[in-house]
Amino acid sequence: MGHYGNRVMNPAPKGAAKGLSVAAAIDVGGVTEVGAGPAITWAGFPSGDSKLRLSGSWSTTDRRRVRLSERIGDRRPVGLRLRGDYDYKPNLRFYGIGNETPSANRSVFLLESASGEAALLFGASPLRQLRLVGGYSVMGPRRGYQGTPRLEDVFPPGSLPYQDRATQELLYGATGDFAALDDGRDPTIGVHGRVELRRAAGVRDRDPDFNQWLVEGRAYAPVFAKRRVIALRAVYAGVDPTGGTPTLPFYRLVQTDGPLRFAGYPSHRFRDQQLLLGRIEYRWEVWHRIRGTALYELGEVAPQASAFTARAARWGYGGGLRYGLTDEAALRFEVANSVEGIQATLTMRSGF
Amino acid sequence: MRPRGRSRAALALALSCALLLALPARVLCSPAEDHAPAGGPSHAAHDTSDSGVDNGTWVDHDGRPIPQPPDWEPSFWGHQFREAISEPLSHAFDIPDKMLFLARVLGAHTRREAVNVNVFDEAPNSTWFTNRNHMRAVPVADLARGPDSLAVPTKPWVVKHAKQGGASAGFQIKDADGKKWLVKLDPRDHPQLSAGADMVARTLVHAAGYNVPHNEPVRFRKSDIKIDEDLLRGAKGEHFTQADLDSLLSRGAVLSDGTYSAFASLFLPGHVLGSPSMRRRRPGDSNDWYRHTNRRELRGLYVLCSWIDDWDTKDHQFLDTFLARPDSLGHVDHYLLDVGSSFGAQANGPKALWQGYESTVDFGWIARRFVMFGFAIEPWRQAHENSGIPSVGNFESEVFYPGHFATEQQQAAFREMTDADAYWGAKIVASFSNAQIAAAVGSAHYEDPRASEFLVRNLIQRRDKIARYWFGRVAPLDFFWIDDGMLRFHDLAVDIGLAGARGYDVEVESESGRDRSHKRLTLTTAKMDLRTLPGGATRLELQLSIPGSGSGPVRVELSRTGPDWIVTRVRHAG
Repeated sequence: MGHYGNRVMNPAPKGAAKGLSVAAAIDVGGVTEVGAGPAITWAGFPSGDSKLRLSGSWSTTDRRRVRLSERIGDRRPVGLRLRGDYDYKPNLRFYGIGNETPSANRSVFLLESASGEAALLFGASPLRQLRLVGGYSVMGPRRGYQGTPRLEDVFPPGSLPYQDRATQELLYGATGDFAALDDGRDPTIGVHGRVELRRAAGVRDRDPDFNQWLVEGRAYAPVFAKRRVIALRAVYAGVDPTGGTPTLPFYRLVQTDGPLRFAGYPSHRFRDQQLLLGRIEYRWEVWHRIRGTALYELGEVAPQASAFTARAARWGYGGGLRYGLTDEAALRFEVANSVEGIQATLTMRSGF
Repeated sequence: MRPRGRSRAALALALSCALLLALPARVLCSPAEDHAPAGGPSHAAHDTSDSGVDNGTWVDHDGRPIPQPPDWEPSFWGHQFREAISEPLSHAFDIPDKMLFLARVLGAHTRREAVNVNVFDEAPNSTWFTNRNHMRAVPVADLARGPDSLAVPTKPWVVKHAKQGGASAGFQIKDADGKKWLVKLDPRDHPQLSAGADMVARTLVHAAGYNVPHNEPVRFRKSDIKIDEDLLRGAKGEHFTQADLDSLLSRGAVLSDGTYSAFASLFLPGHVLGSPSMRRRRPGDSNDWYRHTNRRELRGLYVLCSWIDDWDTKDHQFLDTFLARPDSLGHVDHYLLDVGSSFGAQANGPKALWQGYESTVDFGWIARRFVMFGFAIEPWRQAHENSGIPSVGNFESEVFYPGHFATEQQQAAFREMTDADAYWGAKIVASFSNAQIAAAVGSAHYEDPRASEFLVRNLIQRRDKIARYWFGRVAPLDFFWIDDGMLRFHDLAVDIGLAGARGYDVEVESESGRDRSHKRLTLTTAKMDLRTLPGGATRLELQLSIPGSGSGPVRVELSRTGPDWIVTRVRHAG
């Protein structure tokens, strides 16, 4: 007797995998910077709803990264998250400090950083969660390579704060997400607020003390149908020296990188003590969870709030594709134009 | 001299161009036959019978005893990638194919016609297909009973294995008679959604001519089931507890009398070889002599799927089994499985609204949506598919357009479908009467009377749309026979009431020895008096068309045998 039926017609629904698994970790930092390495995941360590993940990569430009994360009860009302990061980037871009730095000042330096953070999570959903955080961070700039000119060739030694000095900080504070959305991955209506407040205390006397914050608001509204959405985003981020610290290290200033990158500009193009960013984006359904995007963005950095002026804002416009991966991350491909030309980016950012 | 040279050059160029255009046209026009091995069906067979028609090619002898072929089936993910992404892209960028499209103005066919068609443009009976309803109407009583015998799994049931794979919840059982069944539960809150769809679809698909497995809608209570002792203990590696069973049942639908709603599939007889490919022959099966993309019944299946909205048709919804005789020789049978993803259903609930209207990766719609900034309006958005009936799901007939039906992945055989194949499929669909449709729907015994009414009404509307659409592309003139010196035929559109009585244009080419003559006739009814044609003619070629219709003509060939004529070849949209 033969049979039919117990054959895979569709992918079988998978339960949460348990145990040790090894996969490849790919880091894409640009067209010429692709990193690869192993990623080891231990699901169920140390308890049933926990996951330990260790990954490392080494890129074509000699960037080295190691990341360790452990989540315990992440989707429970109270949970714990541990993170450790090591990043060795030999060609980090630096253009100077301020909103008016010329693009011709582009230089590279090596930034080696390591950090560890523990977070106590209150709230089962990452979109509605308060986190009490505490951690340690060490950063130090050095002579860069894999690119020219080097920072010290453009900015003479001593012209930048902490140009050749590493700093160590203890950080503590609170972060939180407060969202009311119809869909975490692809919201069509709702609001989402994010707050990050951290206080940094220098480990040694010579290390600076400062406050670090980020306030972000997102809003979504459908355009006559859920498949067409207007999305708005506003970010105010900054670092403020405290405790008699006169200036902050140039590498600890707020910079236009990652989720704070200005559309149409290279990463790390601007940095200063404060940053304002506003974006309006029109999204429309292209295929399943892939959305087309058309965007307009204004961004600016300044040493203090009073220095922001509408006239100095950096604009960029463009479009691309967005794929909502999880409630916390979206894969985005964008092509944007600004006064400095066209930039194409592929990023995996926080949910927006 | 120079003008003459120029004219010669122009003539040579013109001849070269004509040759270049004519060659592919000739090649493409030629009947694209996959050569059958010795002993295979002969398309040239002219077996004269009393009815005046050639009946020599009604059986495709592909059930001859052969050794068991090796188990094989196409890779699931390979198939998905190929049909969803690789093939559509390669076809989109097939520039020579696009250039040959222009050759259509010269009368060339850019697509190969199906190869397993007999002289009457029909698919002969085979291990894939049996001519049923469109040849001889299946009795309404048979349709009301469904395609199977009345065997149902007798209680109590013993759970032997958990169901592996697939989206629906279920388990394997051995019934009180020792028969093995696979039980699939209807999704929670949707009693009879899958079971009903499977029953109705199987009844229609079987009556259309395809082989289907033996499934039965069943009702059971928890007290009817017990778990096999070995399975409870995990003695053979597989562990299934009462808690697992409770968890499974919690995903199932409950009927008004408190019983669970499900359907049970009897294990097919024979050795399972795996799914066939809709593209290529089965390795090791010497009876499988046609490339599957060139089989009429696989191409024309598109139209049947569009009728019942079976959007999930793919290689892995077919299954081949080898039924061996005592001497270990046997033959391969081909079954169409899991037609339960039809009408408004899918395994775990009502189907998604886009299914049936778009493929999973539909590059055309993706591009249209992208460039129109989300203002493209897909047909499925305009269709009011939500029936509001839990046992029906999402199904409609208002927006349904027969030529735009889409399966989840494009299928190789469907992609190769020609108008002649589609006409054949439409002929089968149109052969179902309202009473037959009602009987087939009745076989599911829907508890909710709205479900039966809704399905019957929509199936009738979809059938009529299919008939209008494909009969508008190919003249539905068929079933030619000779009766007392008259060539008679059926106008299927008239037969089923889609068109009133109408006339027909006929171009007659008669052959008498080396002489050929042409004649134009107009018929006022579906018959033609052959006695009015030249007396010495030994062969006739007729091209029948419907005046004022854009539908493709039908070509009919007749040969004289003694005082009588016989029909020797029929081709639609030829």
